[in-house]
Amino acid sequence: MVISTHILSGERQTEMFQNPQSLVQATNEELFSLETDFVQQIQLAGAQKRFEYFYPRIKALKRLADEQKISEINELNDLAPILFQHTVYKSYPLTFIEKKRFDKLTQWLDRLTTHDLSSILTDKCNSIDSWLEAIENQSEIKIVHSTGTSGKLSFLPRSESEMENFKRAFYLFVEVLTGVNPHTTKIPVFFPSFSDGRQLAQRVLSRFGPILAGSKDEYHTAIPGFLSADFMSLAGRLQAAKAKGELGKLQMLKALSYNKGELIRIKRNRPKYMAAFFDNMIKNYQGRQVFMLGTLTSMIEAALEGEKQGLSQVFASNSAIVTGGGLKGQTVPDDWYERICNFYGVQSIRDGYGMTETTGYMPSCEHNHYHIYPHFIPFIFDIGNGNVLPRSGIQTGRYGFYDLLSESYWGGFLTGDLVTLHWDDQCACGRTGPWLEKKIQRISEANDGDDKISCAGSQEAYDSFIDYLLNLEEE
Amino acid sequence: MQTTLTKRLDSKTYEIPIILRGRLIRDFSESFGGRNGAEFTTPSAKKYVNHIPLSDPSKLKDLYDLSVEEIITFLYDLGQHLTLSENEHLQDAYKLACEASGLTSEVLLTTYRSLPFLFHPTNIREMLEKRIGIQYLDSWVPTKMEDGRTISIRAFGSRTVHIIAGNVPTVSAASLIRGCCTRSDTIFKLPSNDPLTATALIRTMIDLEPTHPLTKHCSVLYWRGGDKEFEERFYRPENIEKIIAWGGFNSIKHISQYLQAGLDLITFDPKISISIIGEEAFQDIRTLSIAAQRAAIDVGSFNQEACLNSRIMYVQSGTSEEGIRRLNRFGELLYSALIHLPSHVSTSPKVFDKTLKDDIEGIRLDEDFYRVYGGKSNEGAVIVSQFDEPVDFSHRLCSRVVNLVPIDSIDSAVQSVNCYTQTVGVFPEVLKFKLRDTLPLYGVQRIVSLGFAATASLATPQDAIEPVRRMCKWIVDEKSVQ
Repeated sequence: MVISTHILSGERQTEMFQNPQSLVQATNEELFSLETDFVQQIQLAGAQKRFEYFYPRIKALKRLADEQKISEINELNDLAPILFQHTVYKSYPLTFIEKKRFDKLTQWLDRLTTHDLSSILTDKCNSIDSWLEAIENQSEIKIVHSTGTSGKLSFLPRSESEMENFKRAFYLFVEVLTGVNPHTTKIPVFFPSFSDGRQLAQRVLSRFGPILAGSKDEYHTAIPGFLSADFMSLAGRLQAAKAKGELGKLQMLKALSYNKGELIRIKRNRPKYMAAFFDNMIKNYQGRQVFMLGTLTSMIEAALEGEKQGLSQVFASNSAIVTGGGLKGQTVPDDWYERICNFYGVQSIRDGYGMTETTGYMPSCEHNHYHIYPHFIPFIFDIGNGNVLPRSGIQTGRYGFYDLLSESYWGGFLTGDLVTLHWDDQCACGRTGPWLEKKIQRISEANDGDDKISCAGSQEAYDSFIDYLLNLEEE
Repeated sequence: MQTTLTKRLDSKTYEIPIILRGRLIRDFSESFGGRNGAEFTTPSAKKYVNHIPLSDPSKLKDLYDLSVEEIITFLYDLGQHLTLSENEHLQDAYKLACEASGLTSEVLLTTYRSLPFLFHPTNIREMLEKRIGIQYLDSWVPTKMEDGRTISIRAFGSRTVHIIAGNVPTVSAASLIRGCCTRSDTIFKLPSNDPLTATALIRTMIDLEPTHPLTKHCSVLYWRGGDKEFEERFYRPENIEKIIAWGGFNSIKHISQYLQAGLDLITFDPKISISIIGEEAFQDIRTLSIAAQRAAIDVGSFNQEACLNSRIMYVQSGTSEEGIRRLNRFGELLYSALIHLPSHVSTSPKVFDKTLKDDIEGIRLDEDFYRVYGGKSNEGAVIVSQFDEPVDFSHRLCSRVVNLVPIDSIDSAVQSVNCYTQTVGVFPEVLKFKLRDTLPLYGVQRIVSLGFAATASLATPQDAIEPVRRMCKWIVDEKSVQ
């Protein structure tokens, strides 16, 4: 039954019920003015359809749902016990990579996607990059990998069919943060990182960056090169091993094949690349409205580097500087926020909350709250007993969600993040729907911590890994 | 008897005094959170930093007025006063440990009740005779050398700091015994997960005989490990001769920065322990059940909080389909044995590590590669690898979670151990004789019959070193030929 909502026509409402993916075709204004009951009914209808679709197609979901005795979705909380742990997409044995058993790695991934991977040939693969390429060439899957928490990359089996939805969700996010509608207005884009790769940021920006900017010429990255999954993986393992005092165990790294020439080139040219990146900013874009995005740490690093060159107030004040990832683990000056605002020439820096597993991100509003789009069905779980908490009031606990836009993989995730969610009290910014408080903590860190490298720390890990390999060479 | 511990009525905060050589200091000014939730306040260690070390080494002399037998007698008397039901200090320590420790109250109760046995003269005499030789502690022992000279050797005590581990309360008692018997000036740094046991032992010494030389050479305090301002002033050769440190990798790495000539570090590094189970276990169901029962004890005792608990078991089931089936059967039996261990030996852990829980739930859906028995709530779990490798998170296994790894040949297990491997429990006995000459080459420090990992004795070397000998200063009197 459709509850009437004044914003949408009856036709649009029916479409949302029939196809949850059409949510992402609505505008920000529409999405953030929907009534809670209406949203929850669309979400329930969507969840039922998605479960029916995925249950017979994804072995791991079937296994979990059978074990939890969930055979249909009658209410939103029926999804709670069948969200995948955030560890699921990195649950493969690392030894499959170390011993180059890419057939086994494929067998592992096959259980997590609707696509049939059983006939993928991996006999020529000798690295993670080559395996990812083999999967890409022989199926519709385009894996997105994470930054390598604890030395293991998550592999999320996205495919082409999700990209249009991702683009729309991403544009919605960009519009909230910049006030600019990317469908109609094109502004130059700066991304201070590697231009290509299969990590989420590289995947998203290499594809949508030029479109956001209006042309390839208006899209600028700092490092012309490919962010290798193998290096990310090894860098993460090196960092994890250092933290555990097991560096000796990493002797096997010596035996792994890697392109030393490429590493040396990146290391040697890095200052030159950064200089050229800034040079271009100043010469061609000073005072202009731009869109710059990247991890918070890469933004700070770029700003401090630019300061050294005597630069400040680089862009027009209506530019959008968008970040995510937090400061975790990095040493930065106390006044970093003022300094980056001053450097880029903007009043404030906006960010979003999201992860490799989300389609798009949740934007922060001017009151520093993260607003959850209706294509995400949020859940908060008790930290102690793991029970799902009521969908009302203010709840603090572990964040889980169901992403109605996933096509190739089960959209249910139980994150490792501790959040506070406000279900009913509307944010002063006027947006309806649930929102998250700014403070988001890793549960593992709240709980004595472990050897995690957050996505914000990965560049450091990457650099120190290059140094490590180069030192090995000199031995 | 005045109690050591005061629990403030309005909060969960405990007061823990500094004890300096028989003197109690109670100006509580600093608060700390216990590892598992309990909070406590103590006087500022920084404020007393100049009084904590033994300023004048000649003050150790009073300990040499005691013979080893007198020391043993004092410790025996102390042990007799460590009956939990009669000792209020210990009752307080137990109460606080119930909050601060990773162990549950049932398992803690067993360890507190066992304290008097540690202090029994037979045990202490055995330790001293077998590890040092009592005559070296009591006198100059002459040795005739090949060149005709007579050389006399005596074991002296030293000024020590013990950075004790708090995972099992017996560590405090063992450290106290070692300190007293070597005639050392002993300063304990309390661990936040057992903030009171050592204090209770020393309070009992004060009650027993406040002016006894042994009482006057025991001190105990808490400071947050890594407090540079305090530690830089404290860890100096003019204050301390030996640091005896238990603990994790970061803790040891941190202490190492203060080392210099004249300051010796004895470490009980972070270790893990494993088991190796030969194919004989599968000869019949009875043998398999016995092996599972014994394996369960090595996993479950001390709730797997100790370094000697088995975390990975290499089992010669074979890696064929039939082999994996046999191993899964063993996994089921082991899980059943584990959860049925009596509660004084092992219980469901108090806190289940959340990161580990996520790791387990992550692999639970990969039935091609892992099979998980249990772990749904906090009771513990058996993870059976369906191929010949441990799980990637094997370094995080705790809270009664063990990983079974199938192997075709025992050699694969041998190659998996390293210098971080402390104890290896072996089944059957005959396999132990085959392995004991090889395992140490890879770094293994202790080889036991499966099921006996938790029955460690003070009278043996520990972590492949002789800690009691190393706590002594071995002094030589060389007499030239007349």
